[in-house]
Amino acid sequence: MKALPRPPQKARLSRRALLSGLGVSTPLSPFLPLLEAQGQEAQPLRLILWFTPHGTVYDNWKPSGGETDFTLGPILKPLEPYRAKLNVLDGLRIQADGVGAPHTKGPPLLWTASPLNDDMTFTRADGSGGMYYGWNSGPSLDQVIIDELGPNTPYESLEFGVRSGGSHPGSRMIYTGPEAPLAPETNPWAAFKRLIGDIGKTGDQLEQLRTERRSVLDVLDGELASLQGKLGSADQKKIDAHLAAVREIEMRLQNSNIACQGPVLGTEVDANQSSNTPVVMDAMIALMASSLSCGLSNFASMQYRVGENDGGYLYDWLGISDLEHHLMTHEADTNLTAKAELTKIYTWYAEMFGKFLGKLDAVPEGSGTMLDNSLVVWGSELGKGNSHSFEKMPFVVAGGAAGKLKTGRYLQFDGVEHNRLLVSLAQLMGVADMQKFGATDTKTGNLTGFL
Amino acid sequence: MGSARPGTHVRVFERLRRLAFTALTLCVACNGDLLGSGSSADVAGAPGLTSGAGAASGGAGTTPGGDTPPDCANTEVGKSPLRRLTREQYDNSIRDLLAIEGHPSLALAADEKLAVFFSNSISPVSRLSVEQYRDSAEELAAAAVEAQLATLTGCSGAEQTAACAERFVQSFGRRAFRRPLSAEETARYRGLFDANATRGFSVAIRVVLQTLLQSPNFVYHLELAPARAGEGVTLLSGYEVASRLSFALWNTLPDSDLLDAAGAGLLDTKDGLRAQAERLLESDRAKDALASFHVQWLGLDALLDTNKDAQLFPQFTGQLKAAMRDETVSFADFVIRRGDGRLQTLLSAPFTVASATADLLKLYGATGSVAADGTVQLDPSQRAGLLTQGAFLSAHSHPNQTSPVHRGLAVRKNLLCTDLPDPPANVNNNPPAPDANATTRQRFEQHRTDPTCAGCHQLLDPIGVGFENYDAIGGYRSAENGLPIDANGELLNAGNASGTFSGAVELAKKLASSPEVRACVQKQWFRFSLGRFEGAEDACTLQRLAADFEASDFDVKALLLSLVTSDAFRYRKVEP
Repeated sequence: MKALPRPPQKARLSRRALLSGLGVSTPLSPFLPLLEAQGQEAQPLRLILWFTPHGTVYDNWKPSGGETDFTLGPILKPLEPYRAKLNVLDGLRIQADGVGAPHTKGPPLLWTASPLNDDMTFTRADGSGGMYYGWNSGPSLDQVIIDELGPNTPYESLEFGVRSGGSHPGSRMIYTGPEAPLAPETNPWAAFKRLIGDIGKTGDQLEQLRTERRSVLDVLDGELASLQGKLGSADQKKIDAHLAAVREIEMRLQNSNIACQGPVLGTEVDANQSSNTPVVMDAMIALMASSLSCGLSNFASMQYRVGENDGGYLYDWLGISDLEHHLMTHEADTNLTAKAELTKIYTWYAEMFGKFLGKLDAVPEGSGTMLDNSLVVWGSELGKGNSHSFEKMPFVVAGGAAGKLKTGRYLQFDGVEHNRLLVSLAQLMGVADMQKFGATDTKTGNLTGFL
Repeated sequence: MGSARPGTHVRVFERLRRLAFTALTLCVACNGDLLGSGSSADVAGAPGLTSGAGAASGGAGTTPGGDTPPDCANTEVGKSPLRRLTREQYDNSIRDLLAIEGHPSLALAADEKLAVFFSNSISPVSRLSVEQYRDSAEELAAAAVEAQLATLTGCSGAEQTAACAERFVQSFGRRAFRRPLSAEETARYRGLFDANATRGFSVAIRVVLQTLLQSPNFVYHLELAPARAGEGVTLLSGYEVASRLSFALWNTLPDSDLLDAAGAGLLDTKDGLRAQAERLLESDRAKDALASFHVQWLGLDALLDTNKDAQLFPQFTGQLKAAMRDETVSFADFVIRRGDGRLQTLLSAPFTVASATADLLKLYGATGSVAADGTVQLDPSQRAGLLTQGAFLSAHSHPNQTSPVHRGLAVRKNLLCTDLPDPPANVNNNPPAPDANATTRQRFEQHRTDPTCAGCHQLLDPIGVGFENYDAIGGYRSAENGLPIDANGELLNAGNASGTFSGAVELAKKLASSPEVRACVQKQWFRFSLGRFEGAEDACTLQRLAADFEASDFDVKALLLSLVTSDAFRYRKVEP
């Protein structure tokens, strides 16, 4: 694995270390008491990463005014109710040297701040100047923080998406390591069943299901473990990952005593049908919020569409009926019709983001709300669509990390690399000694003015 | 190999290809000075084929980038990363194991895609994937047990005993794992049955079944035959090569005859392997694999999800799209397995298949009378094989206009195996709006006249304009907006295929007999059937393939038989 600039290893064993670093034949049970002993007093902070494609219309996105007396522009207007709990970050850039087209490398760069591998994974051509690129080269921020903190939740993290594309760097933003994307749940009804559905079952039914699943997992565990030594090391890594996932599920079965008030999802619709997007988004937002409030995890992400290309359909629910999103972003800045329609799309994105914030803010927690104890970070794979620019990346950070972060601010930066933001977020989440993040990081420290 | 049904992930790729290469206003990535010393010259830094090494089909130097001929005295093959079933392979395997139709794989995470073919060979499973396999397996097992417990297990009434269950584990497991279970494995599953037996026979079988369907032995193409000490390659076991063979030629797991042949050691020799391969190709079940290959190879994955402007093309309905896809796969199957099998025919034949629907024939202006050989004659001045069929032409067009860029790109990438750099940032990729007073060719002039665009676009547009006689749904037209269509084109930097042509029929014939296309087709079949790219160590296999393909006068069946008996197919590189 490519070396990350990382702080020294903590003495405490992270969950990930337990599952993957100790060899496949180590029995799990001796470690359960260790995990159970990690009592939790205060609610741990939550980190939620939120993605929408193709940047924004800067003029209509940027607030006006000063640091605290700012006015939200038309695009971010839907976030008005949470103004006091936000930080709008204007002027960050992403260091984007390296292989891959902008839309392809943007999603991985966003949260890993590391380039794509310079190899021929995805293409092969004879003697041409073709576009060679591979998968990501580093893990995403959330997974690194999880690795450091070793959270004791049923799920290490939960990935959600709406029409989030296939297994390709332009369509994946969460990575546990190099060449290791996490696919998001894209069907809220299936995800509900998986995450919360069993919770409705009665004690006996639930116990029977658990016993059954445990016996199945036991067999799978044995089969995967027995492959040890029979495969080359590159292939073995895949089996290790599979086994780690099986063991995570096993642990969850052993430990889960969750009482969860699941959300009420409407009637199921085809989650792949673009015209159903508003319904699917609503359901996914509800499910995400419930999963967090039930403590299924403290790390989640939402990937709306793909960085690669938000096309192939129309935003007809917004009354946009002629041009696809990606095509529209490539209109000249002087095309005011395109600008207005794009603004509609990005405003709708803000509405969705606001809806999620609203759900978190509606749940009292400690001396405030769930939102107060979270960091909800909204970003995109590009700053500007037509130029594929990585400048002026639109970032919004909602939530105050339990008072550790000042909120209600409009912060302007002059082309500062977003590695600084990622470092700041890691520090806020409790990785106190992180100073650098991502292979592109040429500086150190957190984002001046933010923390 | 391939996706069960086009989904959004596939559309993403299709759309990227479409949208990355339409009108450019700046084009700095390609060297503006590419037209050096003649059309087949190697120009430094120019995308496209270099003539000579790497381009020719036979002869020395088929090692990508290499000039020295491969040794071939020692067996050498490229590495085969461990891969999982693709969605299509999963669905077909479930269909054959449980007689359950449909696309259960749509509940699984999307497949990884390498160039044009789906293959889950690089990234490991997501945590979510393991749960998805579980949920899918539970659902399928429950449905199977409810509908057909007796047929499935071969145990009914009084025979519903543990001993019968154990026999089921062995017989079903052998099919699902594509090899016999070891004693230890049988005991493990028998133990699972016993642990659940008090819940009733059918529940216990269900639990066993759902476990088999989540097992790594089902979900992965596991290849574990060990090498002898010190050797860098190992011969795959009979069962392992049976599995490769069946997925390559039937796109599903082996039938019991093939498993029996493996067990009897018949697949350990090239002759034995070839005999089974011939059996598989004879069977109509080969159509699935041929269909999967051709849909992916020609970039038709997204066809069923493509929409056209309803006012301009009201006839482009769901039925027509399905008919187009059907025509292409049926045509390929017909030519390869019942016709002369030749690549030339696939790419230039003036006929279609009897199953072509009335709507499609209307699009082609054909009468539809079926000849004795099962073909339907088309106008030879208008139709010449795969590239002039509705599927290809519709897939590589916009909703309201054609696309010289995308059609050119499809030829360059999928048929010539070459690639181009990305368009530079800050270009407007939108196709110029249709103009009632100009032809498409005229609207795209800037690609030709603007030196910053021409560098790259001369490799695309002059191919694509050759297709201008076919509108956005593949209907023939001799005029556009009342103006005559100029379909004169040119293949640049295409090795021996380079040169001018007039219209798609002539282009198709040129490509049909081009050494570069033959070499590319070999590679595409290699990639499809092995689920990986060819590497430097596959040079000997590729050389053998080229020789066999040529000796057969470029018969695709011969290519396939050569491929599945090749070193790359029968051996595996042993990795540390």
